Amino acid sequence: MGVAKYLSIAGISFRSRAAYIMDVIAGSFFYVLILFVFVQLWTTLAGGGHFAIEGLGARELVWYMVVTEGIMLGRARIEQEADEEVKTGSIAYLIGRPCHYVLFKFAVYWGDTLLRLIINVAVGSLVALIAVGPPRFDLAHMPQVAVSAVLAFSLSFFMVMCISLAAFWVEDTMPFRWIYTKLLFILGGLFAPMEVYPAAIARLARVLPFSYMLYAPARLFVQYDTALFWRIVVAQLGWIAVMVGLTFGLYGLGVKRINVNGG
Amino acid sequence: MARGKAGVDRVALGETVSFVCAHFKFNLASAMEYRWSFISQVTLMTVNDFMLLFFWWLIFSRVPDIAGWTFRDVITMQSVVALAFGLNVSVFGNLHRIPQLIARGQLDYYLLLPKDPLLHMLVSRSDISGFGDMAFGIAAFMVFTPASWQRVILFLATSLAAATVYASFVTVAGSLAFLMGNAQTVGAQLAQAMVTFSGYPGSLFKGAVRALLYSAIPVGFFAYVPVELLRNFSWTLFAGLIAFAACSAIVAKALFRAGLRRYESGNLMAIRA
Repeated sequence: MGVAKYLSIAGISFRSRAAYIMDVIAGSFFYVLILFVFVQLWTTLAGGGHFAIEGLGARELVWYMVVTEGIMLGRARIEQEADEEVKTGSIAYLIGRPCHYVLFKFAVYWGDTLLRLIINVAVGSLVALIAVGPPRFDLAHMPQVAVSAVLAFSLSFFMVMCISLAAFWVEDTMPFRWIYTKLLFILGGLFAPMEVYPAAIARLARVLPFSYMLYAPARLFVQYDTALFWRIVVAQLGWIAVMVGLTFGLYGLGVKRINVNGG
Repeated sequence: MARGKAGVDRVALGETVSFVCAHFKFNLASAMEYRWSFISQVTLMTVNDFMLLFFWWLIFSRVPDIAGWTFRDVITMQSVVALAFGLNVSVFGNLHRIPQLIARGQLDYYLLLPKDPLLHMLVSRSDISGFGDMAFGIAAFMVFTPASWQRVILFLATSLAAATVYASFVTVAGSLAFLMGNAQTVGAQLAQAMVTFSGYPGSLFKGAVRALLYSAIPVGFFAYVPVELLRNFSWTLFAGLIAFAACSAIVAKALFRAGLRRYESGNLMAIRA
């Protein structure tokens, strides 16, 4: 019963997003745009002959970008809403419902994300297929990549939720979100895999959670390695456990600070 | 007679400048009331912009140039674009909300007052994060490119022209709402295209895409021409940029004015306090 109600919430979120399917498709315009720009960049660099990364040519780098940008742009944007709910106090109405606020948001997030993800996989694959051809990928590894992607999306939710819950204490969490996004750009490996990075920065990225949201599933997709898969899954589960603890801790502390005046 | 008209124009220009300044000061004072929000938005936006340079540092640590563009050219482009963009969103804070204001019938307030409705609408709001963009633009240009007073003047002049090109383009895109009703998605995507292409070396784009970037989506005049001017100055190119900026402003104003004839007022009650 406990899980069923959250699955039901996720289903409602999926259907309500699907009602505006054209809006979701139009939203993938930026995804196409950025993929087009990076197709030009990677093919120009690869064509120059100076830019070489072991095992990763223009084709792999473009498909890598299909996965990282697909995750980055595919996740539901719950932060603005959560931030507003905390700041305006409307969270008080959600607390009264027979479900946990954080888990409610998690279910809404997955319902919305799933539809965006389906659209992004279709659109991104089409662009990359036309631009650089099919990936060198064994379909037998698809379940492992999917597991890593699901964990990446879940980790991303709890990271963003922590930032949104900071609204209990600060006036505006938007600047934190900018920095978080840029950390994902840099230490998450949004534009380029860790193999391009200087060794010290790549080492730092591996001990932080950011690369497990973007680099990890994308790297498995373009260059699968079973040992690497297990290392990634363990790290992803570890970071999810940490962020779940932090999210529920912040929520527990923050909810005590709610003051509701009037109706 | 001619001198009299010139005098009137000067007075009108002076009034417009003081009108924009008065709105800007008011918006700034109101934003500074929320001290933490103001400081954090400006500071962290500056940091945010500097972090974007990391990717280019990574690439240029492996290659000397990208189809003729060096790391310094990319920083120059990012500086001009950040200053132009920051200037627009901090002074013309409603620029990206034009389709929304038209669709909701919220232009009524501006139409009832004697000031130019487009200008009045644009300056009625300010996005404080724009200060962070401007701080990044100026700091990155001064620190990472060779700065002489001539180059600084040219940087400011080209950034101002770039800001005009951007504001005009977004105004035209937003004015599509007069024709389409709901143009928020289209307007946002066109603005997004402009910003996205302005983040990458112009030499990457060839053929039809390049032609598009110097016409329908004028990223060339927003980002690439200023870089060319700061690399190899030419009076002809500079005159071309200024002429394009002036023409685009005139076209944007004319299209918005023409669109107003199709505008339908809303019954939404709003209070401006």
